[in-house]
Amino acid sequence: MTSNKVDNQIESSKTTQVDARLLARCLKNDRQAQRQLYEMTHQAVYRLMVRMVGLQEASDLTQQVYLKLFSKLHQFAGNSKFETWLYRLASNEALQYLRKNSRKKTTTLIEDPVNQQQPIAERDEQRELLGVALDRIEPELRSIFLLREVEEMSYREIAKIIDVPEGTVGSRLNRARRDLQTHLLELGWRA
Amino acid sequence: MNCSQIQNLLSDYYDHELSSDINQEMEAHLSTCESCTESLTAFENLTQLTGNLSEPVPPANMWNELELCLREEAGQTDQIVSSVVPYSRFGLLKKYSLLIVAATFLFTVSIGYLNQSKNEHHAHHNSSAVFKQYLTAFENNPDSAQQILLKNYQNDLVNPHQAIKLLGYLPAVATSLPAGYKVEASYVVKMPCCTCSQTICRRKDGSLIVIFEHDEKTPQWFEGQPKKNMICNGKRCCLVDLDSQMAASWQHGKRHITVIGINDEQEVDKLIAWSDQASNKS
Ligand SMILES: [Zn+2]
Repeated sequence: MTSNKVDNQIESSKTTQVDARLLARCLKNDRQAQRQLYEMTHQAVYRLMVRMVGLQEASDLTQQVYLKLFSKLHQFAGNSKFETWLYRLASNEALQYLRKNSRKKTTTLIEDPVNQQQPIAERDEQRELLGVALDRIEPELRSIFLLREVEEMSYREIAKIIDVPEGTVGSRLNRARRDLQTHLLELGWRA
Repeated sequence: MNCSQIQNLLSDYYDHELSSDINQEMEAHLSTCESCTESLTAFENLTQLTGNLSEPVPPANMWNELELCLREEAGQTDQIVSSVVPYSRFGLLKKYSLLIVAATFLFTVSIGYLNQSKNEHHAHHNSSAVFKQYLTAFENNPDSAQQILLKNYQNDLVNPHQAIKLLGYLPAVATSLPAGYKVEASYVVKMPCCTCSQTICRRKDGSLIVIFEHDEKTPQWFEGQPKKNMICNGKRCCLVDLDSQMAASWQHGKRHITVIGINDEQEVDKLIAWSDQASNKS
C-alpha cells in the first residue's frame, strides 16, 4: 500500500491511447481506420463483455458496441477521453442486455485455451468461484467492480462511464466488494 | 474517525482516492483497529483473486462479421450477398452463417483485387526509399509512418499467435513480450525482402517501438544511415543512428529481428535478452 494517487491515474487505463487523427478518419468511414481503432481497443471491450454477460454473448455484444461506436462517433465531444466514452458505450450495452434478459442467468466462467502453462487446479477453482460470485452480484455493482479492478480506471473515469457522481463511486465499490466477499465465502472461498 | 466512518471510506482509501490528510487519519485508525484492517485485507485478497482471472481471447472472425454489418449499414451490400439472404440485421448475424461465408468470399476477392492494383502502382518503389520515408515519419508521427508502410506493401493485421499461418513460424512477439511493453497492433507485411512480422508495441510511458522479424538481412532498410556493429548482451548487433532514436538489428535463430524507435543501448540489451528468452521458449 505505498503507491499514491498520482501513480494510480497515470496507469489508469488498460486500453491504448487513441488519437484525434484516427478518429477523424473513422468519422469519414475510412474502413482501415475503423479497423485500426477496433484492433486497438476491442480486447478491452471483449474482456469487459465476457465478464459482464458471459462468454456466449460477449462477441455479439462487442460487435454491437462497435456498430454503435461508429454510428455515434460524431457525438463524441472530445472533452473526455475516448477510452472513457468507449467503456461507457460498452457498459451501457452490457447493462441494457442484462436488464432485458434478467431472468436468464449468465455465467462469467472463462475457458482459457491459451494459458495452460500452469494447470494449478486450486487456482482454477478459485478463479471459477469469482466468476460465479460476480454473476451473483447486481450488474451495476459488477460493472463498477470490473472497471476498477480489471480495467484499472480511476474514480473520476468510472463516474463518467457509469454516469454517477464521483463521490458515490467509493461507496458503490464498498458494496460490490462486500457483496462479492459474501458470495465467495458462501461458495467456500478460502483467501 | 470511528470504525463505521472508516468502513465507509475503505474503498476510497484502498484505491488511493483520498486526500492526504484523510489518508493519514485512516492509516492511524488502521494501525490500531484489527477489524478494519481485516476488512482491508479482504479487499486485497479480492484484488489478488481478480488478478488471476485469465484474459479472454476474442474470436478471430469478429472483425469480419463486424465489417459485414458496417457494409450493410452503409448500404454497400453487394449483389451476391443480397441474393443469398434478402436482408439481415446485425443481431441475427450468427443465424446467417451462409451470408458470412458469401461475404468472406467477397472480401477475399476484393482484397486480392486491391493488392494487385497496389503491386502495379508501387512496383517502381524500391524498398530503401519507402523504408526511409517510414523511418523519417516514425520519429514524429508513428501513426502516419505506419500508414506509409501499409499503403506500400500488402499486409494483414493479425493476432501474433495466428501469424504463424502467414509466416510459417511463430514470431517472437507471440511467445512473450519484453517486460514493460504491450502489443498495440501486429501485422504480417509483404516487403520486397521477405514477408515480415511487424509488431507495434507501446511502452509504459506511451511511446512506441516497432519490432520486425524477418527471414532475410535487410541492410537496404537503413541505406545511407550511420551504422555501427557492436556486441550487445553477448550478441552481434547492428545499431543505426536515427535522428533522436536508434534502430537495432540482430540475428534471431534462423531469422533476424529489427527494432525501430529504441531510446538507448540499454534498451537494446534488454530487447536482445528478451528475444533470446523467446527463442528458448519456442
Ligand atoms: Zn476500526
